[in-house]
This record gives sequence, structure tokens and C-alpha cells, in this order.
Amino acid sequence: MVTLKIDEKQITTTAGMTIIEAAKSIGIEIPHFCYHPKLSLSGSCRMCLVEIEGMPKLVTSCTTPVSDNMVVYTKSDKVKKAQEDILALLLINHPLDCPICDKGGECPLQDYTYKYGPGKSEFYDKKWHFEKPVNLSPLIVLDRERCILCTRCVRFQDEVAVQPELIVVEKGYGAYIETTKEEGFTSNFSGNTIELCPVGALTSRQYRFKARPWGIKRVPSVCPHCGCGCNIHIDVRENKMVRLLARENRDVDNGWLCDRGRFGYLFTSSPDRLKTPMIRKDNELVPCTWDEAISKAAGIINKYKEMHSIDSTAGLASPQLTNEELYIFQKFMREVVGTNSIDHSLERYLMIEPPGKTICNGLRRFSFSDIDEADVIVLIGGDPSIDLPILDLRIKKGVNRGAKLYIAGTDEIELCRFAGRHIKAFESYPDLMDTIMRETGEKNKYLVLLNRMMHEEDVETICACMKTYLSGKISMGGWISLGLMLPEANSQGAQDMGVTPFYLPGYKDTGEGSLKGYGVPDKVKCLFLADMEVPDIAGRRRDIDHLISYTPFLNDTARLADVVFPAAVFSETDGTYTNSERRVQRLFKAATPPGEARSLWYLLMSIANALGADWAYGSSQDIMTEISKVNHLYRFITYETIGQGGSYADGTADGTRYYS
Amino acid sequence: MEPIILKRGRELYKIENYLSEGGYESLRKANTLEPGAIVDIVKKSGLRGCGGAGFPTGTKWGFVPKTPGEKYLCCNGDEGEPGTFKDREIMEEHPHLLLEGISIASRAIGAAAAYLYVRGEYSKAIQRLETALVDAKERNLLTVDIIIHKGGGAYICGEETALLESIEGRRGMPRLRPPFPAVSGLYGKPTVINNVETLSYIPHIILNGPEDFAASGKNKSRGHKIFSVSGHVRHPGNFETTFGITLRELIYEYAGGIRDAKRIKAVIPGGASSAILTEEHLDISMDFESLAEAGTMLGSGGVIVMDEDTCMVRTASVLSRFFCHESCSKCTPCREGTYWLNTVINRIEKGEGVPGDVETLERVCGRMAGRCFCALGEAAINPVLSTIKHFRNEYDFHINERRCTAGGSAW
Repeated sequence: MVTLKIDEKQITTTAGMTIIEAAKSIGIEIPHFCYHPKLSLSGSCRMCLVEIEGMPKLVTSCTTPVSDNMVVYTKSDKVKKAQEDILALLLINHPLDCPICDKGGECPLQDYTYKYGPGKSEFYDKKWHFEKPVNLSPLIVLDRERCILCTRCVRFQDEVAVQPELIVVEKGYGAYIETTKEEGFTSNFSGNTIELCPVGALTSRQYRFKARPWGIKRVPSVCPHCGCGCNIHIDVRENKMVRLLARENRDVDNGWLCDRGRFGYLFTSSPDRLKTPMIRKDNELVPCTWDEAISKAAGIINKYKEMHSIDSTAGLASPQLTNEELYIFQKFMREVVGTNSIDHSLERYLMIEPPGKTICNGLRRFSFSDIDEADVIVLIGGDPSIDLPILDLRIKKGVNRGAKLYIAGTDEIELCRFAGRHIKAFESYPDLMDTIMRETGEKNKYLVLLNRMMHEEDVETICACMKTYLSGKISMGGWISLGLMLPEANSQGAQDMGVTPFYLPGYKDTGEGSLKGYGVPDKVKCLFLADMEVPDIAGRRRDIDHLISYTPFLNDTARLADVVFPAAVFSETDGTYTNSERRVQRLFKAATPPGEARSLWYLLMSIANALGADWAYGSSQDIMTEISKVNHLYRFITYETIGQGGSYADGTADGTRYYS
Repeated sequence: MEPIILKRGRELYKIENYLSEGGYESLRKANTLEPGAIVDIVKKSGLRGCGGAGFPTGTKWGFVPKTPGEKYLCCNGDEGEPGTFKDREIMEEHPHLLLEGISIASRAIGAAAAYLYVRGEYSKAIQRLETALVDAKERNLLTVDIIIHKGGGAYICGEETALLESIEGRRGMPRLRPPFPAVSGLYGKPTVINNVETLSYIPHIILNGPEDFAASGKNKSRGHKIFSVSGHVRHPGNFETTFGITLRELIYEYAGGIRDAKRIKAVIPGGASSAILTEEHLDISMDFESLAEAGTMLGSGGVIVMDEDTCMVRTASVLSRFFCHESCSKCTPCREGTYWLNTVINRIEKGEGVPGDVETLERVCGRMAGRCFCALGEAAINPVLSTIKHFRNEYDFHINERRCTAGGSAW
């Protein structure tokens, strides 16, 4: 530990910390452009210069570590002059684009110029020009005149995404950012450079000219596109989503988003969003009132309860729905409709959760932060760059830190570049695990990630094999962590909430599991689809008497329905998602759904009550309260305890959790 | 005075000639000495870096950790400083002397491989070096693996850490220091970067002992230095002398004085990065300390002489354009500052200056000074401020009269 003074304030901190970080820790802001805590040091913008007593020249506070008895001044006259100088120099070629630049209002260059810069320009000559704007990709646009060559974008691509697609070409005043590939900026993490860019050089094409930061309402939420559950900010203007930004969660996304998540929101304000329910009259779907649709749907369900066996009704709900909606869905189908034929997937999937299945017990439950500590990471099947892109970044960082990566049972995937070994084919799972264990005998922290297409027997074999090594590794101070890579935002939640024919919420056996398959049952007569598309429904439609669809768009499946209810999307509802590490995170409602679209739980409550039930949920919080009583895995979950950072489903704070 | 390096007229680039004059004997002797002993000898000699910074060579070698492991020696033959062409003559005419020096230095620091970074434009030097390397290898004379790396044509690659980046295949931009190259340099390994001339003194120092070298010189600048004299002199060229001769001697005795019987007007004493001197400074001693005291620097020893017909605004304009063009773009003050200086001076030179422009130039220099990432940006300030200091009237004339005091163009 070292003790030093910054602006007359004494501070004791770890040796090796930079002055800029030490200052930040006691609330002193030092302006900077090229410095970023998650990237390598550049020291090139010269904005963060500070004065150290006894040193003749100012030094960059981002590159200088603190030392004992150092005396630092961040606001002396010398420093103020230097700050003014650097801004004056940056502004000579920087175009006066503020009125048309998307960064205006949230621009460090603007803000620092106000606080530290010169009052007027003394440059009366011609600014250097570049052709602009340049579309680097369908998503990212570059303005080379605004660029101050801080190289944050270059370093991000080189170091974090490890897809070096941006470089500086030419030198001096003529230098500019260029893509390395002819196809342009193709990295699936390209959008992060927009948030990193301290000026309006790299901006989003989707967001271009759409809004000003001061006219935006910002709501925290969770990305709906994959099982990572990256935390996001939803920015809304006049009830329309204008962009998504990262909301740093060290344990999940570490402040990054993939492009699918960041740019995949335009559908929410598509003009094709359904605004009213629809009903089939004379073989044509026509708009109708909410009450008409409810009563029609209730009538259909009632008919089936009375006339056919309960087997012939089934329901499918999307794993992009919230826990609350999924819980109500299974409650509706089981208690009101009276069937156990529900699911959240058209294909077979793996569940490793159910207790009483002792296959995993003793093994550590996967947290994303395990990647940061593991000595050995084993990926079995699956491709994180497609299924869980942010895990890609985390695994790359882990390998860079020294973890050995094994990739087994896949073709060439993005992470193969980082793999110590890519084992395309192997005799058997025990063989595979034994080989890996043998090659890494001296290591003690293991992470094994399974893909959800695997069979339970295979998982049992893998777990049995790993457990033979477990006590040895534990005695070395290590652990073996097991995770399942679930690609949808709330597949884990769907399983936990019992949207499967096999289990009730909390994995109580229904006893009927062996009679059912996955997906849409063969003999179904009445099908309820909650935001699910069934590709082969057209061929089967003649055998299905009634189809009720809850959907945001009139897609091919919905077109064949008897009753269509307009759906709210993820940004239009409060609720929670459970990600692949069984972390429960809150979504906050950011916009009101169009027209008469509603959350699924509200719709199902309306139908249930029309059928004589007495449901009185006022909000999704009410539903979570019930979930926490019914589903023992969620017994610690309340909206207060989850807050905005999420919390593990079993309520532990530090992520050290075990299967039991 | 017997030259140590520039022994002319004997075609010493041919190995037979070099050997017949005692070539590679020093390396044989060095191979019998402990590396630490070699470092001590060089320290005692007082030899300082000849590329511009003048850092004591023995001290630099001493920074390399003694623990075993990969280490590198890099010879900086980028010679980008305008007005400097001494290394060119050394590489063209005395390649074996350089190879011998590289070998001895490598032994001293424990390097198994050495990179010889040669400015790409020096095609004859590269040719001579490549031939010399083949010849010396054939006779098993070398004890270190020497790799010749051709530069791509950037002044910034003469900066030692940008040179390392260039060898590693990256854009030539300087690195953060610390860590210093002696601790973490080429490929992250301990590395020493020395100038061509510096390494070429090493064989003499080892063979004849450090005292011989240290005996001559002035102040803390010991031994010999090669000055490249160019400009309006009768006999431009490289001159090897001892530290301590005066600028007057160098220009009038060695280089034959000003051509066409003109009067001297200004002198750049140490390459484009040094502040200019005028007639009143001619009796200054050419050594590191004396020139620093006079507000300029010895630098690389590139002496550019300008006569009475030279337009000093044009001089500043040419030099500004050089720095502006060569800025690597890394840091704000150099990238933007050199553009600003160049633009304004160009305007003044063309007769489009306005009152206040000179004050602007001074202010811009003040905005850049002490803020730049490396010495290039800092150096760009010197020609501007020193020409304004000594020849303000010429700037004013260009601005007010929209004409040049010197009539014609400069050089």
C-alpha cells in the first residue's frame, strides 16, 4: 500500500494503481479520451496530464503509477493550461458538427471544452477534410473528421473482441481509421466501439438523427436475445425505443454487448405490430374487441374441457417470455385448461436441474465469473459466438489470462483460434474427460460447459467421470464447475417455471412425463401458442380444430389462428429473466405496448376469470411473490433483493453455489 | 588526428582489405573478455550515443539484466534526421567495422541476435552490408546472428521504441516508457538500441583501451564525433574530429567555408530538431554541454550552413513541412500542432500572412512544448521558435510587405 496526496487530499491505495484511478476513487475527475480501464494504455491523447511535485514536466496520469509520498496536483495553473492547450489543438481540425452530430449532449469533447477548453478558436486556416460519412457496415458509420485518433476502437477490437478489424492508416494529420477487411466492419461486437468512441466519429446508423440524449427516457432492462442476460439500458423517446446501450454488470456482460443484442430492437416499433385482437369470421381474420376475443377464446377452451380428453389441448410458450408470464402460462394450462401438455421448445432439450437426479450434485454451479478463474475450460458442442456471444469475449479473456481451452465435438468455430486443443471427434465422453484430466493433471479449477442438445445419459456419464476427480481437485483448492449453455433469454426460467410436460414449477415431477414428448404433441386438437412460431403448422392445421395465438406480429403461424391476441414485447413489461447461470434479473417496463396489446399474464388472467377463476394479480410483482412461495428454488427472490444487478436464484451472494 | 571510423581511400568495405588492416582483431579480443568487463571498458571510455540523445553507452548497456534469457541488440541505421548522413558513409564504406562493433556489443549484453535497422532508401548501404555479412559469415568471424531489416521510409522509426514496433511488423509508433527497452524491448525481451556511429567506435575502444578514447574531447563529451556538414559550404561532407573543435573551425577549416565568398547567416548545429545558431555563435565548442548551454543541442551532429541569401522563413517552412509530414499521428499536440505550424508558416512564406500570425506561431509552440509523447513533436518547435527569435524581421517583412527579404528562394 502507498500513501500519497492528490489535490491536498491524502489517500492510501494499492501500489501500482494509476494516478487517474486513484483520483477517481476519491471523487476527483481527470479529463481523458484515450484511457479506458478495460483497454491497454495508450497515453496518446495527453488530456490527462497532471503535475507531480518535483518533476519538471507534466505527466499523463493514466500511465503513471502512484508512489509513496507522491504529491499530485490535478487543478494547478500548469495543469489547467495544459488542458486548455490539448483541447485547443484537438479543435483545430475537428469539424463544428455539434448541431448535426449524434454525440452532442453526451460528448466528452463538448463537456471538457466547456469545463477546461479555450473560449474561442485561434485557427483561421483551412481544416483538414475527409470524405464523410463512411459506412463501415450496415450498423456503424464513421466520420473521419470528428475522429481524434484516441484508438479506443482499434484497441477494443484487438484486445477484447480479438477480431482486429480496425486500424489507423496513413500518418500525421492525414491519419484515419480504416477497416482491415474488404467486407467492412463485420465483427459481431462492433457496436461497442460506438459507446467507447469519445466523440461522434463512430455512431450507430440505426440511431442516426433519431434523438437527443436530453430528450430520452432511460430504463434498465435485460437483453432478450440470448441466455447471457446482458444488462442493458433501453432509451425511449415518445414511447419508441431509439437505442439500446450497455449497462455494466461485472458478473455478466462486463459492460459489453453483442451486435444482435444492441441493434435488435427495431421490431419493437415496427408498423406491423398488432394493435387489436383478431377473430376468424367467414374464414378470414378480422379485428375485434378485446372482450370479443376473450370470450371466444374462453368458449373454445371451455368446449375442450367438456368435450374432449384433456390430452388433446396443448400449449407452447416462448422462452423469451418473462418468468412471471411463463409461470402464469403453466398455471393457466394446468389449473384452468386442465392439461399437462405444455412446453417451451419445438425440439428436445436438456435439463440438468431437477433434484433427485443426482447426476450433478457436488459439482459447482456455473457462474460466468468462473471463466475468470478457471485453469481449464471445456466446451462440449455448441458455439458461444452464436448462442451466447458475450461468453465468447469472456472466454477469450480467460484464455489470454492463461486458461487452457478444450473444444470438443464441434466443427471449426470462432473460439477454435484460442483453443489449446480442438477435439473434433472422440470415442466416448468418459474417454474425452479422462484425456483432458490426464493432460491437465496439475490444474485444479475446471469449467465444463454443455450444450443443450446433449442427452441426459451423456451428461450422467460426464458427471460420473468428473466426480471421480472431484475430491482430488478440491483437496488442491480447486473446483469443477458445470454449466449448460442455453441460447434463449429465458430457457432456464422456462424450465424452472415448469413450462415442460415433465415438471411443475421447481421441478416437482408431474408423473406424466414419460407419456409426453417435446414440442407440439401429435394428437393435439386445440393449441395455444404464446409467442411461438411453429414452422410446420400449415401442414397440420387441418387436424387441429382450434388455434389460439398470442403474438406481436401476424406471422405465418398466427395467420392460421382462430383467435389472435396482440402481444407486448420484452420492453413493454415488467418481469424477470433467468439467465444461463441461474441469475434472476429484472426487466423494467420502458414503453407502453401499442393499442390493446398486453402482457401474457394479463391476457391469461382475463381468460381465466372469464372461465370462473378468481385471479387478482395487480402486477408482475404480485406474480413473483406467488412464485417465491410455490417454487422453492426461487424462495429468496423478491423484486427488492434483485434490484438492478440481479441475484442468483438460490439467493447466495458470492456465486459459490453447488448442485444438490 | 587519426580517424577511428572514417579511414578513407582503402576500400575497407572489402573484407580482404578490412582484415589486412587488423579487422576483427578487436572482436577476437572481446571474445576473451567477460561481458561485464566489456561494459566496464565502454563505461570508462565515456562514449555517448551518436544518434542525437547522447546517452552514455556503457550505462545503457549496464541496464540490461544479467539473468540468462533472450536479449537483443538493435543497431539504429534509420538516419532520418535531416542534415545527417554520417551513418550512410559508415554503412557504405565501413560495413565490417559496424558488424564487428555489433558483435562486440551483443556479447557485452548477452544478445544472441542483433537487428540492423537500415533506412530503406539507403540501397547502396544495404547492398554493401549484405555482402559484408555474407563474407564475414563465410569466414566464421561473427559470434552473433545479425539480421538486416529495411525501413519503410518513416522518420519516426528512428525513435528507438517505434523502431522496435517496426521490426515486430507493426506500425512505427513509439511505445510507453517505462518499461524501458533495456528491461522490455524487442518482443518484450531486454534490448539495447545503439546508433551506427556509436557501435562503430566500439572495436577501437576494446582494442586500444578506453583511456585512449577518453583522452580527447571537451567537458563530458569524450572522444571523437563525426559531423555531417551540408548547405552553402565549399566542401560538404562527413568530418570526423574530436569534441571540442569550434563551429568556426568545422565550417571554415574542414568544410572550406561559405561558397561563392558569401557571408554566413545561420547554422543548424545538430540536425533539424536543433535550434539554429547565428554568426555570433561561431566560436562555440562543439560538444554536448556547450551547445545545450547555448539553448540548442549537439544532437546527431548534422550541421546545415545557410548563407546571407537564405530566406529564414522559407527555412522554417521546409522544416515545418518535414515534421508535419513525419508526425506518426499518435499524440494530439504533435499531430495537430505540426499541422497548425506548417499551415501558418506556409501562408506567411507565400505572402498571405496577417499581423498576429507570428504571435500565433509562438502560442502554438507553447501549447505543444512539454506535452508530446515523444521527441518528434518537441523537436518541431525548435526551428520555428529559433528562427522567430533571431530573424523576426524576416517574418514581419513577409507579412507586411508580402515579399521576401532574401529575394530568391532558399536552398
